[in-house]
Amino acid sequence: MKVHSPPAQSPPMILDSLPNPPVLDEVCPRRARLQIDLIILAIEALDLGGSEALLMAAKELELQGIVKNRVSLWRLRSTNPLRRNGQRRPLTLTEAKALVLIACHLARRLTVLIRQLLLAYQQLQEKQLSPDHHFRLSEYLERFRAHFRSRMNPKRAGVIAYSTDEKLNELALKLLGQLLFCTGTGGTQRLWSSLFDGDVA
Amino acid sequence: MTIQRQYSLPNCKLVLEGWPDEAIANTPTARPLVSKLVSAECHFTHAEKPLVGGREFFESLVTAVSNYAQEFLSDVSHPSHAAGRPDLVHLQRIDQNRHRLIVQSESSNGSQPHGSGTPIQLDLMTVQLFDLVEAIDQFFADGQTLPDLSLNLAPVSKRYVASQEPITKRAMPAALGVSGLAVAAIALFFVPVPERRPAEQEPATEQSTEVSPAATSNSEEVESPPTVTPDNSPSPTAASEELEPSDSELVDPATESSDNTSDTTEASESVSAEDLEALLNTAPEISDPAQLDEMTLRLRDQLDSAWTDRDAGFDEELVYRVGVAENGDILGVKQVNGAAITYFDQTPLADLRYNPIDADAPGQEPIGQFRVVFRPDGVIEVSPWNGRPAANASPLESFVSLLM
Repeated sequence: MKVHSPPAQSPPMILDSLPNPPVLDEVCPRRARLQIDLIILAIEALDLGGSEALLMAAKELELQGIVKNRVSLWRLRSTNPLRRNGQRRPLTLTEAKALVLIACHLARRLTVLIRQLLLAYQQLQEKQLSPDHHFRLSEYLERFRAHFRSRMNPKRAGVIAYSTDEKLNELALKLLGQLLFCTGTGGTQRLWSSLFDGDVA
Repeated sequence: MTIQRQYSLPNCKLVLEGWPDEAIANTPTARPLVSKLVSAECHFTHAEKPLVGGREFFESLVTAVSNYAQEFLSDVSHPSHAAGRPDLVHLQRIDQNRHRLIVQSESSNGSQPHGSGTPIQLDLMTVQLFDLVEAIDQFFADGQTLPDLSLNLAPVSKRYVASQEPITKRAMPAALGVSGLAVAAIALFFVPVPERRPAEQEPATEQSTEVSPAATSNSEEVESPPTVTPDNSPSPTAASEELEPSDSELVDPATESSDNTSDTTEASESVSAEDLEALLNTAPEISDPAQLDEMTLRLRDQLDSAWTDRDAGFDEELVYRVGVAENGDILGVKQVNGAAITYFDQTPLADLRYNPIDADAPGQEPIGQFRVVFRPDGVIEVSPWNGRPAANASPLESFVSLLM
């Protein structure tokens, strides 16, 4: 039986796979908003069509009621306090769940690439070489740096901390490792729970 | 007959051997339920020998690994295993990409906290660690093997994170508070109890630079409140039109000096100053003392946890006037003294402040105004900007209440 319900009314079932953490007013703490956006930024740096893929994934997961289009996606991501045009609006738990589900869905598709890059990084580390010696890895890092610099507000102390290429590379590699953990069987649950570490009563 | 279950990944293989559930052992199913663990083995491709143990080892392994995975994702440390029982398995971060797995040998009878053997250490790269996590998560997802163990994720509590700070760091504010109180008490001992004669009020003592005009319930009542900013003449309780010229005076010298931060912030500071002005003039102000008190504490906590760069190298106090929404969002920041402009980027305010660009007009949302002082010794002071309406509190009482 097919039922066409208006998107706003019945929240998609998939959201129930993630529990509501005990946070104030059912909105996301600051670190969660920052981390979600950075994880998505790393996906975009891995995959050229990343931003298109995000909207496609929203459709596939039937989350287009929450992530309707490019603009609404941008609005949700701009709750990241480090953004140039940081939106002073809350990110609700439902919205955050949708972004996390989409991010993990895409991360899972990129599993092979993520593993390859992390293994390459490991080999370079063993030879004490910089990440620039691996073409695909340096490409990821370069794109991540470009994305980060073009979208984050350079006047924020949190952004100033990443003023050098080395610092940004470190962040990009950390996010790459975290993305790998998102690809696993419990990846979505793990990422979701980690967003609220230290922010619940 | 025991049953073996395997969870294999490229770098790691988890092998569990156990007894089937007796109640349903006789019913022939494709995949019987394994309810009692006999042994657990954890093979790594880069290690010669597998890690082997019984139920105690396996429980400790899955808990430690699962918690460590969460720490890896959030950078927030998780409390170790249940108190009273030693952790057989422990994980340590060596660097971003390397992790050390430490396994104590299992005690045979449970009476000894640690076995006699030396602990086994195994270094894992991130990909290897992930394979271990994934093997464990696949086991958790498998309802037919030890269903009493399942993936149990919960975010770490705020309270736990707060107590993670070293004792010296936690004791510091208290020690400073107590010594400050002592200094204040000694100083006040020599000050005669002032009668309420506003015109002849004593000039402020040294300590009163740390105190905002707490006793002044509103600005008209008292003509000469204690001078708050040592290097800046206009009194902070003056009306906002008096503040405006002083602010523009302050911006100019800072931008003229070839300070590297000031030229980048010049434009936005003046804009946000205007915005704040508009905000302060139009927004209804929060004046409920209880609410202000609560917001003061919250703002202080928020700034304290966000201020990472405490050795920023400024040697005078940075004084700011800060507008805060009811939910704690910092909506506007105005620098009160020169150093506050120069070192703005080193304060957490730069990071926590929301961009005041807002299409819908400000003014609907009530705000509270606070005076925030960053001291060179790493202490943050927060107090309501217009003081606390403490009508019948003596100066000493309000003094003490500020030091608490």
